[in-house]
Amino acid sequence: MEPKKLFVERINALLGEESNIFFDYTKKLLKKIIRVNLLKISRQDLIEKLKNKGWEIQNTAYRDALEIKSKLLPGQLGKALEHHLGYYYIQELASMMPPLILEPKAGEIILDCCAAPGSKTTQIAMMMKNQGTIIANDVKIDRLKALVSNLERCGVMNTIVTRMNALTICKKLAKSGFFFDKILVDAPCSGEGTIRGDSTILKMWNINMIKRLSALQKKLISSAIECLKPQGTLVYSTCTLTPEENESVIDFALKNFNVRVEKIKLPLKTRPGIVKWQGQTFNEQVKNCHRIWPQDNNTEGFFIAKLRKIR
Amino acid sequence: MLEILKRNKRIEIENLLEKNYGIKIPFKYHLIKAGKDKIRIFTGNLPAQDLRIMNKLLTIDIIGMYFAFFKDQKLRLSFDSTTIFGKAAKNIIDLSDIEARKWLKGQDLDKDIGIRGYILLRYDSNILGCGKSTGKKILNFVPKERRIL
Repeated sequence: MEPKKLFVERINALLGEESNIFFDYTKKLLKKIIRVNLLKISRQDLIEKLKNKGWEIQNTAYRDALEIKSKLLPGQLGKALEHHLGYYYIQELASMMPPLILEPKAGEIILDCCAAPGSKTTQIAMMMKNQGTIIANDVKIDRLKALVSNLERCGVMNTIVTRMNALTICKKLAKSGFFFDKILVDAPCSGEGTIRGDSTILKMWNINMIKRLSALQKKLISSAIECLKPQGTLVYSTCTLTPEENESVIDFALKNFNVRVEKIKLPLKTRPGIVKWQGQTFNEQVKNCHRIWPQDNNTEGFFIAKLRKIR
Repeated sequence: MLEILKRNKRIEIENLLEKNYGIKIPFKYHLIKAGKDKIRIFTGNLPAQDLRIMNKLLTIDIIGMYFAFFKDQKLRLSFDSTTIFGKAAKNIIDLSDIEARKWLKGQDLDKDIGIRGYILLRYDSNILGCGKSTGKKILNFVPKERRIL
């Protein structure tokens, strides 16, 4: 499906001449990437098992992620015994970055506001070695089923799964004196970065949806900051590239809360957040945010920011 | 309703775990009753008191991981529990390639292993859940979502 005219214009405004390369990448198939689930198996043992199946494995920029180079049948990656046993999670490389920035540690209490289907929650639990506590929340019941199934398959034992509106859960927790060391807001978004894996995104894309989502994302980040401990970390991420859902949301948080955007390093090539968009000028700190463009690492597109609550 | 198992019940389960499977869990955890006979394991560091408060405050779907089915002094480990705790366990029966395929399809195995009761199944160093040996058969408990058809 061809992208809508306005979408093309906006990508042109963000990338200039390079937008052709972006659109070329949207037509390419995604790499087959898996994340080793260290809660169940070591990296080396999994590599050995997969090689014994005749699969060609290649390292990636992130140690726990592996690329399957072999040609597989459709669905073969998800039907493999090793997947059923929870030895790996099929996850795009860019989507593994938000938990890396969150740096969850054993013993911490962490809120994952919009957790389903669980790729990042299972990664966070793995990084915490099943110690500490994760509250994994999602509002949609069908997505929650996928979350629960993935948590069970991956052997995650330190998580409480809740089914609530993210704004409500944050409000209730803060009111009752429950504050978090770290919060992940992997916000619902227009999904521009996922066109390669799901072409229906192009069909659904429209500017009103972006405006609606931007308003929701601002509410989400506000509620999440309210239940973050002083000096706590909030990671905000989306799989979209539109500034209204990214830099504009971070700019809003900087204007309204005592937070700062921290500098971070990632194992992927990223570009800084943009400061000017359609007549708006954002706080200079948004330059510390990271834009992951599909053409830079042959991945999906992503946006990630790390906020620290000052008090 | 959230029911965290009391100390005496928990010790009973721990004893069965060690006696039947030779498993000792090496970290702190709560055991939580889920439904009539199901037990979940939660390794989170929240004290029981905070868990109870959260239970009143939030719409909790599940806590931790489904750990075991516990009825009539018998403990049947869940499929996912066995893949985590089963590697160093006792009472493990090795399966052939054909048997493993059958087992993962959810079928019982016609296999006389000389013992009765719950056992763990292994294929190529992978633990494939818990089965019940009747003497002539091994009854299958692989959950539908883990079956490979």
